[in-house]
Amino acid sequence: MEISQELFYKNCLKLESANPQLATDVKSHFQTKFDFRIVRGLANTISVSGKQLSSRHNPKREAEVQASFITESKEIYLYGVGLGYLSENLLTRAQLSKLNIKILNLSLFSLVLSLRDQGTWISDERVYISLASSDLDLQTPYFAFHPDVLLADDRSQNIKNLLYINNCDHFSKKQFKRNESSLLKRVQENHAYIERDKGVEHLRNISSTQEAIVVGAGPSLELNIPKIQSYRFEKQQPIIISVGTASKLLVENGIVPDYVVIVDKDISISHPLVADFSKMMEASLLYSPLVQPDLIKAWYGDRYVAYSASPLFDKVKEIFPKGSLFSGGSVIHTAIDLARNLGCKSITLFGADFAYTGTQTHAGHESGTLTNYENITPANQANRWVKDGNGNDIPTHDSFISYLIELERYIERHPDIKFWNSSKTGAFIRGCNLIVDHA
Amino acid sequence: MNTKLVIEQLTDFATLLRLGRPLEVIDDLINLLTEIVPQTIGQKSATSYSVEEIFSLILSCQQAEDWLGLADYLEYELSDFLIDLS
Repeated sequence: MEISQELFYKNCLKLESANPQLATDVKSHFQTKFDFRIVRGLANTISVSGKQLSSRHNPKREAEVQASFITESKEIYLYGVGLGYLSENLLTRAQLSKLNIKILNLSLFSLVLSLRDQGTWISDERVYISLASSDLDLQTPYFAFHPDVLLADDRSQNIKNLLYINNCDHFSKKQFKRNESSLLKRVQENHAYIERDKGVEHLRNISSTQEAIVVGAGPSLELNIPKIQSYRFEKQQPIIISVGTASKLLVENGIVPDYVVIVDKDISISHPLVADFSKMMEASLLYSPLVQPDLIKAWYGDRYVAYSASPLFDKVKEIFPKGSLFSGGSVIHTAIDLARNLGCKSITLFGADFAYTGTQTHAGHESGTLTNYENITPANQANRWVKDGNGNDIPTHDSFISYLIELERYIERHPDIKFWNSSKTGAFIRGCNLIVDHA
Repeated sequence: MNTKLVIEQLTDFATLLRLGRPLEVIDDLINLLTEIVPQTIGQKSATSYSVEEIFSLILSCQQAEDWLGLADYLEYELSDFLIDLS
């Protein structure tokens, strides 16, 4: 296996019949400099940026294994192409009438076309080949080549992130099942509080203002504290909803939130980013039945409980019927949905970064390991990126990407609410306008 | 060590890696390797790699997120080494 210009043009000739525009684009990306090498085993493959594109020993067998997990369907989507073996395998299915190939990186595709004859599948009339970057959402049923996803180009970041979170979702659901008994035990321990406290339905449309500030714990919060302070001088002050881990920084700066939202089972009252409850006596707590009983007990002000759509709460909902809020993996979703539930039509986000700033993951936290962040890749070793408000790549990790996409989907589902972002230094959030230019 | 069982597990891990589901593999793989290492370090096999080399290559693959490379090491080099030992 070696780079062959002849092979490239031979493959391109076939591509011209399938998708002439794509063939032109591919030619313009031919011989883009790539960090790649041939890897020899019982067969050969290439490794691009340290990642093999197929098995080096038996790529045909690998394609068989992959195909065996792809549903028998008339139409299938492939994100990425690998070295082309899976396309060839799937096209042996007589019932397959359409195989959609979504290219995630034009330069990578161009490299693949110069290394192996792809003519068999490209010229099959059931194949429809196009750029993944022209799609807004994933199509199903699909199979994604993981190396292609990791090597997706800038234009395909949206689809790349969607593929990531689907992958993470699959894993989370398995993990959730593993932890289910301990979580149910926690809910049981909180029964007395759930019974006694009001549900979130008591907060429906009670807001006297339509404006809400929702404060997450992302690093950009530090820069924007003065903006939150400045709202005090407005005639109609917005409601301030803070996630638990942003509360200490707010309180230290003289801002007592109206609501504090805590949903994480591992957050304790001694968490370094959670304010001393005695300094937030006027604030109300909105909690999930999964939080620590000691934390609920220690709260001074009003308390409200909210379920989520998780099946984990199915039984307790029957015993103590109360309202639910949206959960997309992060407390920020629940805090935002609380603002909607209160009747707010304009929601401004602070500290909703979904990325690192420098080495920081949380505002007000410089060093040491935070609960649940023990295994998170440090910023200087991160290998996931999102665009910030200025269009620059900023380091992040899979969970943050997943939270970001869930938030973007939530925003899309609520066109009646205006969403604003206070910072350009965190991740760009689709559907969210920026309120300033400098931060 | 039950070589047959270990190889079955390595093949299952390799399959998940080939499907692009590394999150489901890594913790269990580390546990399995932690179990295998003390029983194999220093042992000679007729295969071309030493077990130390294989473990080191596995680690490199994991760091580079080279999941198909890792799948190959589990399903071929490491499995062949263990079969040869047994």
